Amino acid sequence: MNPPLSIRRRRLYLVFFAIVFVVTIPLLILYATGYRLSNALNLVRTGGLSISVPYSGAQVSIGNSIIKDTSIFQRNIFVQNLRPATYDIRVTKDGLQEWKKRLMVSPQTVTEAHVFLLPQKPVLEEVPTLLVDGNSLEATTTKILQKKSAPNPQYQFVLALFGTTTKSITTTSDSLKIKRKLSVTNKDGALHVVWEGNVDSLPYYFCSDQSCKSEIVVRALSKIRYFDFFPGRDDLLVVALPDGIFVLDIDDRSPHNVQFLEVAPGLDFRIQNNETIFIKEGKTLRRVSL
Amino acid sequence: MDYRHSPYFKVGRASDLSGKDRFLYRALEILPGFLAWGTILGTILASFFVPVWAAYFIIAFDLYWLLKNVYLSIHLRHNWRRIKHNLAVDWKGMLSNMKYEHILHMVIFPYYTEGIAVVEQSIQALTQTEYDHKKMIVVLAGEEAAGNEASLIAETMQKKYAHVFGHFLITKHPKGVLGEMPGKGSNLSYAAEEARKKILDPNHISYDSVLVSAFDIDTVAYPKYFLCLTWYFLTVPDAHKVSFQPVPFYNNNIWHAPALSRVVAASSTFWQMIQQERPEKLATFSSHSVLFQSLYEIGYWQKNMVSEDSRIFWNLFLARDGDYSVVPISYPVSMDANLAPSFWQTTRNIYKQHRRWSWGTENIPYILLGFIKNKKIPLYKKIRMAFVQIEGFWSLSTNPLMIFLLGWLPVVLGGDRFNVSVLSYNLPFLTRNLMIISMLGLILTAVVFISFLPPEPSERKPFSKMYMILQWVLVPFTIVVFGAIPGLDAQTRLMFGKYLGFWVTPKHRK
Repeated sequence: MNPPLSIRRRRLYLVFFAIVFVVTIPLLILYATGYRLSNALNLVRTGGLSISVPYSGAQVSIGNSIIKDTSIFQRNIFVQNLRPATYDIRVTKDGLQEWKKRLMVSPQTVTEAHVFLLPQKPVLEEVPTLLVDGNSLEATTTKILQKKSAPNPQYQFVLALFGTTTKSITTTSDSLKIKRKLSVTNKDGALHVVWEGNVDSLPYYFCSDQSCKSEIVVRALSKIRYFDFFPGRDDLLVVALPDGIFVLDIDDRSPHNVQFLEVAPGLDFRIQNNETIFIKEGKTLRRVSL
Repeated sequence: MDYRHSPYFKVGRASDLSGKDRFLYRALEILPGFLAWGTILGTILASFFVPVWAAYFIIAFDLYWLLKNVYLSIHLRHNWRRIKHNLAVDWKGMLSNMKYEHILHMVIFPYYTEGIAVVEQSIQALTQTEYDHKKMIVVLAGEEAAGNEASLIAETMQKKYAHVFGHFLITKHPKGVLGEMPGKGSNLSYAAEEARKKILDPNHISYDSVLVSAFDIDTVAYPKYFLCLTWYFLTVPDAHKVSFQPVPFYNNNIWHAPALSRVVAASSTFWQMIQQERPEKLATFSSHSVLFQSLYEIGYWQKNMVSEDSRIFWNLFLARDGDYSVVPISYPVSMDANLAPSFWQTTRNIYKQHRRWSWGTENIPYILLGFIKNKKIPLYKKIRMAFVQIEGFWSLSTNPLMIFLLGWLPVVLGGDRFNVSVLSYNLPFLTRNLMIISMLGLILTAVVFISFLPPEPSERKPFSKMYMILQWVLVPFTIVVFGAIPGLDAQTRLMFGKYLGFWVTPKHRK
């Protein structure tokens, strides 16, 4: 007769699996916490980089090595097994401006970065001052069919944004803007960014090498005349400088990434409803198509 | 004092006791739910306050789960071979040198409102078994509460099949008996006692030569089942100290049941197959067999609780001071997988059936109280049995949740500081990979499942066999929804004293 598994055999299996468990658990935990074997067979602590790239088809490089191309399914790149050191990260995509960062990787810690890539030739659509006969233009709140050579209400509306202090969910005045719990104050052309929330939920870019600061000061080559949060992002600012409109990251762990929206003297901008950027040059208004 | 004469022997719930015993029993009823909820809430709180330690625990738990799966798969594979072997054995030849003509098989079919097709299939299967049918006593145990239609079915069966068997008895369990819970236990007990009075005693049949098989009404015996059972009965050292447990297959309607039902039913079969290789952890489940003398000594099945199939084992275990076990016969009987007229009804029935099975957790306070009160059971046996039972119900209600739902908790609740650690990034990857490796074991389960399938009905759609393989991807869902959640539901009800009544799984045939 074919008996059940003997107690002895089952105990052997049990002991075997218990040994596997006891041996494997420390190894798994060491691995999970970033310990790796060096070439000299020493146990070394490593860290990682997490690069969030909100575009597919972008190429992520660390140093001279191409790490990965992003795709629709994978836009967050996680690189681990990195020795604690400073790494140069570069993200490029055809037709978009380059993003670069020099970041320090600390042991057992993942250094985060959020990439932004603006077009090399940003598309700017002019807002006409007058409506052409038969054209239907969508105003901010209503769709209005206007007659020949009538003033464009949208132009008037946007122009008004430049005339007064902007009011939106995120802004409180031209020199102080608050988004979520980040407050940004323009003090004599330099932006002072302060986290007003709980220290435990401090944005990643306030911390580097396991130490955090309470304020980041963003300076440009010339005085910042006007600023606002980039639509949909609270880690990017749009700034008006004497030579153009630029977007820069608050992250100052290495020199700020600065990308242009339009380069020309005397430009100003406003952001409507945290969605649309309008650039003003003289009497000309242009909508930035992102 | 003999434990079976103690006031604790047939306790059904805390309110059956008084004073300190009642308090103790109530505390023991709370224990399974307390452990399950303690584990789940503990994991959630740890993920919030000490996410690093919670992550370590989850990694250790994932590895434990993986190794446990491999360990249990070895048992499954071994039992698979054993069942195939037992199905092929010439049991008549095995019995040829033994004296077994005196052994009678009493088969009790308790039923309620099941249709004639279900009842007849089971009785007809008995007529096709290779045991001397004149040595068989068939008891069709109906309920008064089921009404005339059920009585008519019984009478039809009697007219059609009574002449085939040595004895054929119809019993009708009266409704509303004080101290009884309507259900299978009270019906079985009534039927067994009626059979004693009307068949065994008048015919001077020794209780020691009658092997009682308590079959669910949908239980279809395989042709050599009673030969196999007889062989085991004759070869055990002392038949008074054992129950016999076949493997429940859910093959009666497997080709008509939806994938969800098939996977859940087969998972129950696999669990029983695994337990067959670990007899010391086995309690009787569903259809089982036991000597009439043993039943008679303890007053048959308990009438005041739901899980009579497993409780009968614990009754006998405590009555024999721990010197009682289950003999796994590794031979199948076939039953119905859950099937209702609509998919949602089927789903609801699966849930309710599994909640009733999980209600077996009501045995925990009974066993633990018995271990406290019965001083004659060796301590090591008490500790081992108590651990096996508690761990079993705890695993059922918590492990799938821990594996499939709680593995990411430290990442969600651990806060920004934890979320920038390498550990936080690696935890989901490790959990996922360990789970994927665990799921490779499903290949074996699919192979085992296919090997025991009955012939495919001719009207089946093309690729239906392929669905029988693909269905296993549902396992992560089924073990949570039809394993952990009904388990937790049952334990929570017991914890709060919201006792479940007996719920009869509807049997539907297409």
